[in-house]
Amino acid sequence: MMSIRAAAALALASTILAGSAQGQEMDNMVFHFSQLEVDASRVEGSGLNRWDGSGWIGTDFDRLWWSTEGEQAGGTVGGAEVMALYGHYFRRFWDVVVGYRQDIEPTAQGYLAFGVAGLAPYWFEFGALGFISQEGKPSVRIEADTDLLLTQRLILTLGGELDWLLTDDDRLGLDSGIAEVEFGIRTRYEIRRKFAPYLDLLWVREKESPGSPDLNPVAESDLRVGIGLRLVY
Amino acid sequence: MKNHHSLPRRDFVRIASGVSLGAGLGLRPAELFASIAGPDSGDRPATEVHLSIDRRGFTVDDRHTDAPTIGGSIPGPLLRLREGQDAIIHVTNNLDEVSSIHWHGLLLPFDQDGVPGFSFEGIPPGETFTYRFPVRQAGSYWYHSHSGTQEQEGMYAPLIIDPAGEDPVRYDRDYSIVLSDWTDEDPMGMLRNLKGNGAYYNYAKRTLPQFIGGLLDNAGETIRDRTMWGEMRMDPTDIADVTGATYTYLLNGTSPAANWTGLFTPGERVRLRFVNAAAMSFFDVKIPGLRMTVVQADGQDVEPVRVDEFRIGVAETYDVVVEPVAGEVYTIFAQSMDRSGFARGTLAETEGAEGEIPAMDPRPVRTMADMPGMEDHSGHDMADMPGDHDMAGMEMEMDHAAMGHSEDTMSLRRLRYEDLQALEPNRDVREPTRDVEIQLTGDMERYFWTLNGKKLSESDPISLTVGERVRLLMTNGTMMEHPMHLHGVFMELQNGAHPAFAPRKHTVIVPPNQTVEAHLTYEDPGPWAFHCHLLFHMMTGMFARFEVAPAIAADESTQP
Repeated sequence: MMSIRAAAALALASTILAGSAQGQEMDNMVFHFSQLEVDASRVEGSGLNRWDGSGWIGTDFDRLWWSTEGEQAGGTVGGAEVMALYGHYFRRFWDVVVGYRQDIEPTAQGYLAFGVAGLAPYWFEFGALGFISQEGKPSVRIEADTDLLLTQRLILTLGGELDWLLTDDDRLGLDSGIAEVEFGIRTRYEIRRKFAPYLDLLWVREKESPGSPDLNPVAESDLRVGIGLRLVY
Repeated sequence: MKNHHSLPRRDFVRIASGVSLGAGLGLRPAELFASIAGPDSGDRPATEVHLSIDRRGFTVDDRHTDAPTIGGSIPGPLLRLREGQDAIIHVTNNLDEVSSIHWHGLLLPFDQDGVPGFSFEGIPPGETFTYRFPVRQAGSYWYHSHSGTQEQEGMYAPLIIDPAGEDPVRYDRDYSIVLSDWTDEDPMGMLRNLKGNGAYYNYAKRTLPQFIGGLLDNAGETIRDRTMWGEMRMDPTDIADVTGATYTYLLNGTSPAANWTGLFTPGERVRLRFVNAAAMSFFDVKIPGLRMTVVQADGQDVEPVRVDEFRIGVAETYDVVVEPVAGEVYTIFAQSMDRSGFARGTLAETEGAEGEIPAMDPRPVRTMADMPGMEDHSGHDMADMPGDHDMAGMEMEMDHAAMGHSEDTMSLRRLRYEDLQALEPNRDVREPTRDVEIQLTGDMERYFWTLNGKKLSESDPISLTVGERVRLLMTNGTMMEHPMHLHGVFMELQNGAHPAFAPRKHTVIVPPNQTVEAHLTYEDPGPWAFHCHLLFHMMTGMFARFEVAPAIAADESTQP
């Protein structure tokens, strides 16, 4: 919540600054970008709602990146996290980031977060983050996705995410190793750039309990089918 | 009328305080005075004009804005001056924001150039600024706001300076043809859209079905091509950052549907003075059925060149003469370079006539040759000069060689930079003694643009001296054409013509992956602006400061 308030203050300051600037040197102004995706699917007969929001506020070189994701089933939030990262543009296409991640559900836990994010060759949006939990346990997350255009407005996003615990994490109740793998194909139709309904196909496997050596489907089926909406501001 | 080049003390103090506020003028007060106290013009005749900047409603087809305007119209009023006279122009800013007027392409003292942060602090709301300068040149120019996004919103207008002597161009009638790109979107919102997604306005990207089609056609070539572009993270369809997805292209403030019309009488030689006052759009201009004779480029007379089509970059001007015949109706057709739309107007004998509107040409796609570092285009090679290069990416075939042999040929003769040759020899033909190398740089994904990898706010000024002969080498390391505009001097474009007849340009298109060379000699000291004239490139940092010291100061510095 702090980060949102700070972001609002920054946005206000940037508006005032932009209004007073008259020279040609106002070439590093503060801009912002936000995207929210919400979708609904049915898993084992009950509704599952997911959200995935991200954005940034800042100049071309220094930005506050934020993200939140989570899911809710049958009125209960099953998983939720928020993250705020400071990002610095250190070379073309790339930011180095450092900040904080807070898991809210299923296990409330804070993490120091750091890594790189940017646009990899072949148009892959790529992020590699390392985390140190408040208990000192290290983990890694790799994310990548890319767009494939069926038409100018009908667009497939292929994406994947991998969470990997480098040591056993008692607080999470999980042994070291890959904790979760996710692949998705999201097909959106951009009625406008900022308003796009989508169909989501998501394949998820995650480790459920200590000692379990394998990644398991979270439900009877590995595959979830959802419909959702992307909003950009 | 005495001494009207020197500012009153009060105005000087205002400029000086601007310096202390961080404008970084870099000139000592004595030098400032030296630069603005020109010779007394005595009782030279003057043209005195009053202009006001007002926010006015403006409607294009079914879209409406309240936009800052010059004189209440878009474009603003035609300003007509005469060479050898003084111009006294009172500009009253009735907006609730700071504004400015820049006289694009005019040679004048730097403090009359109208660039906030360089020439002055801008015109505050409710105040009047009086520009005074001797008119030292003739030709077709334009004037526009140099503050924020006001130019995109509608603050631009044509400016014509009639020559003191006889005009080398013979014509019976003339029209200013101001091309522009208009939208009801808030320009800052547009820039924000581009920051979030550099391809926000591009609805002509390559698709998966095209890729599959390519694989079936020639798998090896298609994979190699896609791999190259993917590796570079560049998009061959990125021809224009902002497109007809939001723009309506205007001709003299009139949409294609509303059809601006210029009347002619058969037998007349009609001079059309084209200005590209667009914020972000290049145009390819043709008048089917009429050969155009190009007689001026950027306000400077050139050896007449007969063409069927010319490309006009943002901020460039071209004057052409046409000879329409009885019984014909002609369409002036200016298609945006990315073919996402067009501006059109009509030349006819009567109001209300309408000519055929041609289909748009195929959309150009960038090729590997445009990719920085892919091939050695290290400039100076005449085969690779800009006009020619533009053809490389074009899908339409135009045979230059065939032209001139036969009037009947179907091929279009398209103006190239190499065709331009100054009508009068340049005054200074010395070999340059000083090289200034500028890399055009940027990041399309993050959407910011730079010179030598730096934004204006991060960069050091480039120091020159009045009278110094300079070779300006502009190397484009990006995937886009950049119309580079240098204030306070003409760039003599080294296009293969004899240097004495190198065309003088205030704005030069530098194509991707090429080096363009221009020679120049400043006659006026001052801080002068050098920038890409694509508005959002300029606003995000593609801008540099040329500090031109008076020649006297340079002499003093060599004799401590």
